[in-house]
Amino acid sequence: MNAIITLAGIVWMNMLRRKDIYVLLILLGVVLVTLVSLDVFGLGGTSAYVKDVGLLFTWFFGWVISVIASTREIPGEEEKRTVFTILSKPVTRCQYVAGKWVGVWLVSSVAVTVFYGLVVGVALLKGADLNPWTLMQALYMHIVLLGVICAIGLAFSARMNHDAEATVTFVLTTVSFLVVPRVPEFMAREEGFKAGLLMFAYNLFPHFEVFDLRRRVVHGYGPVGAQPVLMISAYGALLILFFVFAAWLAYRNKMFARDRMG
Amino acid sequence: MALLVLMTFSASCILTASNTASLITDSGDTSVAAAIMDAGRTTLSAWLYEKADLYFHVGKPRSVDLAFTGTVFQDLAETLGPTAHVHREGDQVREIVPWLWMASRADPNNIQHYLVASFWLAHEAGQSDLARALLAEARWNNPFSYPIAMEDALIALKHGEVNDAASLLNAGLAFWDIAKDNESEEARHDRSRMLLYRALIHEGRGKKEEAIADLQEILRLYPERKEIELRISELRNGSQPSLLASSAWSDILRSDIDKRREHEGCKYDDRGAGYSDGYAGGCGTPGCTHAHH
Repeated sequence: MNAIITLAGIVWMNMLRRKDIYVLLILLGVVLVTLVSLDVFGLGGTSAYVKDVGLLFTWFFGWVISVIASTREIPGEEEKRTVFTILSKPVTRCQYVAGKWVGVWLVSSVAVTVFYGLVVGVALLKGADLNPWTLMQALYMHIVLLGVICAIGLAFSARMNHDAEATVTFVLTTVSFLVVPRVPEFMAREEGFKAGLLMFAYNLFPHFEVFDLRRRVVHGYGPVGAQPVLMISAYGALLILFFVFAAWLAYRNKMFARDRMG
Repeated sequence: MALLVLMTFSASCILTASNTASLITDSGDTSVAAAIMDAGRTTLSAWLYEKADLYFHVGKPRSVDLAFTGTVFQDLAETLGPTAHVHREGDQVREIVPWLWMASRADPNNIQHYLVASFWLAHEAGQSDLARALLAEARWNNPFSYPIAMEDALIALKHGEVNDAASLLNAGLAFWDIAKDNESEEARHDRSRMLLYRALIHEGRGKKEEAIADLQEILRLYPERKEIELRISELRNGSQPSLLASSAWSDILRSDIDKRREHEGCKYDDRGAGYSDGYAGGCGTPGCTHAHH
């Protein structure tokens, strides 16, 4: 366990040293300030759109951070050859993969929590009503989803080079976000091979839509009951386990040849 | 896995391309870059318009045809989202305006966005001045659009600005004559409404002959309307005092606005058929393609 925490700490320090999160935070701030300063025919008293667009960008930036952070860790260490130093210590490959996942998940979660804080602050300044329990549930579900995205990124990074795995992770998560929830709608217009392919994709890809509570937050609804939250948490945990396990399977016997690296 | 991802992504591209392709073809521009920009703008505008619809229904998305229902993921997603079919009312309607405002900026030539926003601002949020400012902007971007003039005239009439309303109705009827789509049933209905309001204004001003001329024009559009014939004969006989005209247009206006407002509820469950590109005599809600006769 100590090894995992130490490895997660290294990931954390690496991310703090890089400027990605700060840049995204500033960008989010700029977007929110622009939104607040919009003069919609001098119409005051509207604030839901600030929450909506703010959360949309929070999701987008959270997705970018988690994919970038999870896909560059393992290839980055192989490229810098620090992987030899780490694996020469009493650290198993399972601990190595788990430590990387914990690290990138923590970093992404903290970044997204800060983003939520910024959005909530600006929305409150604009006079928005926010249900704190719904907001906390939304953040919790979002953090579980980030765990899944980090696990997917890590699974691909165990065998592929950085560019390829980042692209594949972006594509897979985009499909899970935007296409999979709409498969039943697309299928209503398709038949034969296309419909079969869509059905196959619907059952194969992760369903990210079940982690999204933004509509409840934006439109002022109360929190969801415990049962769906537990079901979604279990689904998220299963996906995380599956992809982290896949990452370990791909990484456990990976051979490193110094002359073919970097 | 990577192959599967690639295959699914390609399938999604093919599916979404069918919509985008029609947008590009419809634009009629020979430049590919301009066509793509046009399609992007229209898509963004449609998305913002759909957002307004979502806000009007307090977060409940429009219903669409689905190939299957009842999967665990669909059930979970439904549990997470709002399920009650409710509409924003009164001051709360203002929340839809920023989306319509952004939609009108993304596609200033889509008059539907202006009409919907102005209807709700004027008749639900009590912001007629803002509604008229929005319609002035709409006129600037779409100078010969009769629905904009008509909407503006009705708001002016509601607030007793009769001269303004009369000029706008004159403009609206003139624009109607040169409108491309004035053969449709909705367009005929709009013309008859404009003529009726103008006839009542003429009547109120004691211009009996002009009022009769407008009513006869309505009869040419709808010969089966016996009540118009009756009204013409009453005017000729002088059996109705002209002072009642303002009360009549107020009643008709109130009834028209109520019909449009009521229409919001009835069309929600079966709308999903797409969006009308222009004013179709609809109730004024995003997504609604129904006429309101």
